[in-house]
Amino acid sequence: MDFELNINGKSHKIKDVDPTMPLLWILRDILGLTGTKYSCGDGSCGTCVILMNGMPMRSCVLPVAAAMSAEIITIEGLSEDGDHPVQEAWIEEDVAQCGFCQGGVILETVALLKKNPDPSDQQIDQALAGNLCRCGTYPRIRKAVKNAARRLAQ
Amino acid sequence: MKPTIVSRRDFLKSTGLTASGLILGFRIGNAGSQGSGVLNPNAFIAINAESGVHVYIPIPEIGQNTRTALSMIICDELEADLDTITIHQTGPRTDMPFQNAGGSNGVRRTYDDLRNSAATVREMLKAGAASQWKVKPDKCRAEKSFIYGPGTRKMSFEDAVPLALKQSVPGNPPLKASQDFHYIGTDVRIKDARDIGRGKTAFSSDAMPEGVRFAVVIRCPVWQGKLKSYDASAAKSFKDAVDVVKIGDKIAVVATNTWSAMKASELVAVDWEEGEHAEASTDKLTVQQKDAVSNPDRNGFKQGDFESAYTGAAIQLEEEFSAPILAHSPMETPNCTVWFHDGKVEIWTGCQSLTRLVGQLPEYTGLPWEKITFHQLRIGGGFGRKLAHDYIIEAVDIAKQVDYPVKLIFTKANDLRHSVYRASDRLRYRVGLKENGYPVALQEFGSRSTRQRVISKIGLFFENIEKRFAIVAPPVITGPMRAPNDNVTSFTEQSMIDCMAEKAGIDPMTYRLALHGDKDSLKELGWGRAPVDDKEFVELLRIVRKRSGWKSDPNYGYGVSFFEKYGSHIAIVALAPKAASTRVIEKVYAAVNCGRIINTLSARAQVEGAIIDGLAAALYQKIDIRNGQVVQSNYHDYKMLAITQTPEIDIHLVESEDQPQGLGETGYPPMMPATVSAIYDATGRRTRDLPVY
Repeated sequence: MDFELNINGKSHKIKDVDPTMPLLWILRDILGLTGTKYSCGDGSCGTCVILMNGMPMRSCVLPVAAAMSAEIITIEGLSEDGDHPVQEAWIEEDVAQCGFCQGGVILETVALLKKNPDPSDQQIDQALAGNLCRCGTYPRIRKAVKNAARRLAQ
Repeated sequence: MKPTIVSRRDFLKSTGLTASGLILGFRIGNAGSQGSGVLNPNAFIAINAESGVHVYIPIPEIGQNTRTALSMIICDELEADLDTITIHQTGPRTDMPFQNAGGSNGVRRTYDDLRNSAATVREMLKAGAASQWKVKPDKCRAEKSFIYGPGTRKMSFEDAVPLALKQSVPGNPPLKASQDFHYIGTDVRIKDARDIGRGKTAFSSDAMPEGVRFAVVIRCPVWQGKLKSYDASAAKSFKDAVDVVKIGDKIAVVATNTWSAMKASELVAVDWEEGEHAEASTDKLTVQQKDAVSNPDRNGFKQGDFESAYTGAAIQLEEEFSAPILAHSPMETPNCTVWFHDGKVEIWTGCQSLTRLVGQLPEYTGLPWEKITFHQLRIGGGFGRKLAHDYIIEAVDIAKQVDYPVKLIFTKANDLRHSVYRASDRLRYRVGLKENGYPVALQEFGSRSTRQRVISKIGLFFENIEKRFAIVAPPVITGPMRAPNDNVTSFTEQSMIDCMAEKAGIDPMTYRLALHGDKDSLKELGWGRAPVDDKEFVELLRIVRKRSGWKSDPNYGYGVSFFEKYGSHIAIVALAPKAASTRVIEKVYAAVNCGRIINTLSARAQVEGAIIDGLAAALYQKIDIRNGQVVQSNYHDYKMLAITQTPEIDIHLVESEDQPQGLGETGYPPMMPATVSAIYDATGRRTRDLPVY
């Protein structure tokens, strides 16, 4: 099937792909948007999170057909220069170690703060419970979410 | 060996990269010089008129943040502005040692060389500027990438380069006094943070050369099994499948995208000759290990007279502990992209052990080194997994048979089922103590895998020791994992120390303090002297005792442990809530002495990460084998810690003027026994065979 996808504000025509192919592989292997990463392939780790109409979705289990006519934002498209308040908060709190999973956590946080601009510790934990980080950056993720909330409130 | 000025041509020759201006080559990693007096540099500082200061280092970046730490050391001594320098990854190159991320060497084995070389450049820049100003070099000083002379004289590093190149290379440039450090010992954020946060940083798997195709490999689920026959007709006709390629006893399915390769690979019907491990299981391994530790056949270490000291001891106890097989399970699964074309080969990957790889690449590829171009990219987590080259060899073997670039990706299940595992070990201890708990006799019977040495440290506390061991080979390949060789014995020995304290009716914190010579604790226990005199551990244990309010909150169980590796010492206290909680461990207190700290922010990150990693291992992680096959396949059955389970972590870094030591691995092993002890204190249930759940 052919698809037209709206990714980071641009329209992309995808030709002759299986409608059940997860969006992750369209992004990475066909469009070369490698900011979205693969790790589990079954929706359990959050490394591949993208925003679909503002909602965090796991692109490794999201069939491309379901992404049609939706507004998709990947980590590359969150801001022009990497200076979205959540991205700035991530830098200031020095969150990344290897950094592989952080794009997914940042997008999950963007969605959380849109829904809940001032989350409690418990709400932060609950919202990010499915975003795994093997380096163990969680204490700094907690701080960065609060930092980002402060920046967004200004 | 003295650093040396390198020509553009020689720089290109030894790095494959271009640079101009002043290029100083030097050797890091105590590697010395091979051959007779010829310096083969593995690191460089380059300054040119157009783009300022460039630093070239060969150590792979896996999240340990070596890139920032080493740049800090150089910029401090060079007096360059850290915000304006550019860091480059060199390697792999032939005759370039120390291109490895392993053994926590990144800082501790490079610190002196980096400082000396940076000081060399600084002195040459000063001498160059001084020659123009016709003043003595010692009337000049460097600051933030400028040279300042008497009066208002000021010259940028870039402008000083042509003048500096006319100066001789000083032999023993003066090093800064530590009170003058302005980067070393401070919080510096990781230099790659912005690009990582916007998805711009290229990780190993992000290399996408024009026309790349994607491969998934089918391997025998039983280690060392052979391929009998296979039928790939259904896979070949799967939409977007391109090729099915046999590589030894494995089959690679190639498609125009990764997903189609994964799907098509499920359609390959394979008949395996499973071989000698077909019936293997971790249950059987455990039985073998238990049998082995009851009467091990190999003599280890002997000291004094164990038998009579044990028989005569007022207190006797016997305990057995084990830790399971583990997989590293980095977030970025092993992957490698290879393209053979025009008689050459190009490789893109992330490898922790480039020095070893360089020697083997000509053999793997069948091409001489001059025909190999290797792109080392950032690694999305390693923990030892990417010290192995299996994924690189597989990708090369596939690429040899096709005429397009091919990217091999391990699925998560592939990585968990075909890892290079942390071996399982079991240890049985018999210990004799005096009435007051003082240790007198130790017998250690161990079951070891063939491939992994076991480091035993508990013997330090005893005068009469008998150690024996047996080798029980696991039915999987094993290799190093974060703090290898004693990430098992840290658990078994600290657990044993807890049991010793309990049997003697002594608080486990007081007992550990006394073991290392804390005066108050010796007095309290009525010990005339300590088995070991170790002021460092006494200090660290006292710090965590105080910060944690040891055993002061009746709502918590407390566990304590200590550990030393790669020159760094750590003491940990973990708190397990007695009431039901989403977090098994709610608070962790760590005190660390790792010598001089380069980047305090990264040092904390490494300890935080290691504690969280160790907690996950203690609570959940194990590899099971049934019918020769690894059972675990993804994060649901090989669990990482989630943020909801993450404790509050309080880290105290001891200030030190000593040489910097390795820190990336030290916090991992001791978190396991601290966790188990805290749970025991809270619930009365002690885990003797990891994991807890």
